[in-house]
Amino acid sequence: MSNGKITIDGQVLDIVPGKTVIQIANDAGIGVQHYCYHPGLSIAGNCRICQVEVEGWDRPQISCKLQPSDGMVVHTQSEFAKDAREGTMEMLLVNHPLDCPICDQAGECHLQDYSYEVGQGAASSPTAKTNLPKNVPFGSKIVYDAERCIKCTLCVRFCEEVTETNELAMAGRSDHEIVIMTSQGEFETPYSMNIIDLCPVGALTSRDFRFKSRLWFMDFAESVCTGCARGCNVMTGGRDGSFLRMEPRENQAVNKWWMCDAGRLGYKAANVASRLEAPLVRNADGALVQVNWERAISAAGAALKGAPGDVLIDGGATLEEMALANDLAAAMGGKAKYAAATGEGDDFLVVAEKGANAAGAELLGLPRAKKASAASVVIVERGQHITASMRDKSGAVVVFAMDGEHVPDSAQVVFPLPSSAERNGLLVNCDGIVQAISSNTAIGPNNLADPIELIEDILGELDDGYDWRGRDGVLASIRALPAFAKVDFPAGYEAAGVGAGS
Amino acid sequence: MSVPPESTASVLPQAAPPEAVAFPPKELKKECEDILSRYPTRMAACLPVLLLAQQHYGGWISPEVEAGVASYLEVSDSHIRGLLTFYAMYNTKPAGRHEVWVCRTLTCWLRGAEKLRQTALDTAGVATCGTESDDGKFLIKNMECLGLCEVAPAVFIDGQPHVNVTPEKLTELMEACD
Repeated sequence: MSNGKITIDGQVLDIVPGKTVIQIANDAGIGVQHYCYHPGLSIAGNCRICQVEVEGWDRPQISCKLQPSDGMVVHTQSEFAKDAREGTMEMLLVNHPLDCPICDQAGECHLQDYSYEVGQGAASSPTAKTNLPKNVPFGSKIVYDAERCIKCTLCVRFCEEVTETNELAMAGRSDHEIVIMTSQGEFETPYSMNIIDLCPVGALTSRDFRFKSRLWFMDFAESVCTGCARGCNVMTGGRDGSFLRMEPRENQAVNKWWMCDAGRLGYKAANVASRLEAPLVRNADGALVQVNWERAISAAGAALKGAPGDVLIDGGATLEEMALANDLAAAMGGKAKYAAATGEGDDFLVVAEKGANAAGAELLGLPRAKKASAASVVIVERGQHITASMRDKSGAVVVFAMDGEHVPDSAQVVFPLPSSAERNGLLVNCDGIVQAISSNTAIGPNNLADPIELIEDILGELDDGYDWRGRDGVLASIRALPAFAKVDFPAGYEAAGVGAGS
Repeated sequence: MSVPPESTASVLPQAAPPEAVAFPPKELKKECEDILSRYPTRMAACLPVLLLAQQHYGGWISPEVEAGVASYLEVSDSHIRGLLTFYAMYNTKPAGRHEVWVCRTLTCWLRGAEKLRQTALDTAGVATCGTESDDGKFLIKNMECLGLCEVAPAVFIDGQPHVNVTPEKLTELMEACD
């Protein structure tokens, strides 16, 4: 049975029970400006910027709370609607400091965006702007600026409805209304930094990202957090080789709109000073010296030839890397094993399994390394999965490592491993969902070789008849495995060129 | 580009959370239950219960009382904090024995409320509204419209309205307070 039709900006759309006009419009690709509305939170209807015109109604209506009825005709861009929004914009800016040049939010601020669309240059209010608290710490990770705040209450509702920890409250009223933190010290919830993303303006900013970079100098890439096996979808943001921040990306099947604070701040491992930037080979004096890639690859082949053994791979490595590690172990007459840490989980996003691709390793049939054992090759990213004792007792001669700290003394050849923000590949999360990480070229040292290519080159050294397959070939051989017969791969992963081996 | 680490240890307030008082105390139990019986949910009874608590605990609601009321009404502390700061008739700082409310809205202002406010502050011996006088006798508060515009300017002392008030009359009224 049809629930009737609603016309928005000339498009005739089906009414969906439980959806308000803004949701129907958004689903149809008609963007309606909004601050206080968020699909994951209750509807407050306090910012008034989503006002639209409804034919036959005298007054503008807030589309976030407007229940559609059959035959309703809505205009989002009529003069009447624009006029209402222009007035709202003026009111929102009456006490806003307009300190965009020193505000971290600039460039991703809805107040800026909408001001550009419907705002006007001057306010008609002759009174001075109010002075309110600035630089207020909300826990150690968040900074609150009450003057920039437009009191949309998104952050308060997040703490009430999503985390149910109630750390924040709206205090006061009218032009002296501010957000306050009612508990002292830190947030109780480990998800507090989501309110930074929720904040449509620069009132809540990250202390970690504070004054680090202007948004428009940064490059962003879609990726996946490798902090635990949940695999929250993220955007990685980097500039000039530094990984500056990570923020959640919506995926209803995995993390909805959120991610945990520990995952968000986990990016720092990519910025350590001890990052390896070139291949190293141990010389006759026993020192590791920098060599070019060809020398390192042939040295690795020589070191592994006639030294049969296992391959120990990080539980956060990609499917492609794990599959090649398996091939490498087979070529050496050994086995590939993966190592992954377990820790604490909670009842929201964080899971106890910390290996971001542990499920993928299991699908590939790799056994899990429980304790230290001998291995010829060790592939270690951050060191939380392959512990110091595991890698030191392995006696590995060829090591792939991101950080010089994680290289055992036994290493003869060391390859620098790009961080997960700098590699392409697939991870299987705790629910069996296959997700792609993708490289952000603004992060990490330049010119690091793709570990896929390096392992293939080493395989070529070990086996004269080796047939180079490239990333697509490796992926094809993974998909041909019976364990992956029913696994869905991300749509367009190869088509988008991410999987195209170079 | 290097990324300097930033210390945050010094920016956080270091205070223990307030210890909730046992609410309601014996004397208020029956009244609280009466109030609750008039509302469909416990949350709906917040305002009258808070007013009752304020009267009982010396004219103001401390963080401890706030936490007690929150747990009695099964709402979060932050919800109660929001109410206390939104409504001007709740005090979150110690209040004097007598509360003097001076209207600050248009009609009273046109009829000389500004002078009344100054008179009240001078008589109480405090510099600003919202602060208890040193002797603990008075708390002067700015209030929005008290609903007595036809007999402006208006002043409430301890909940009792006084109309057509002059500075002389206000001094007299305040001096009559013990």
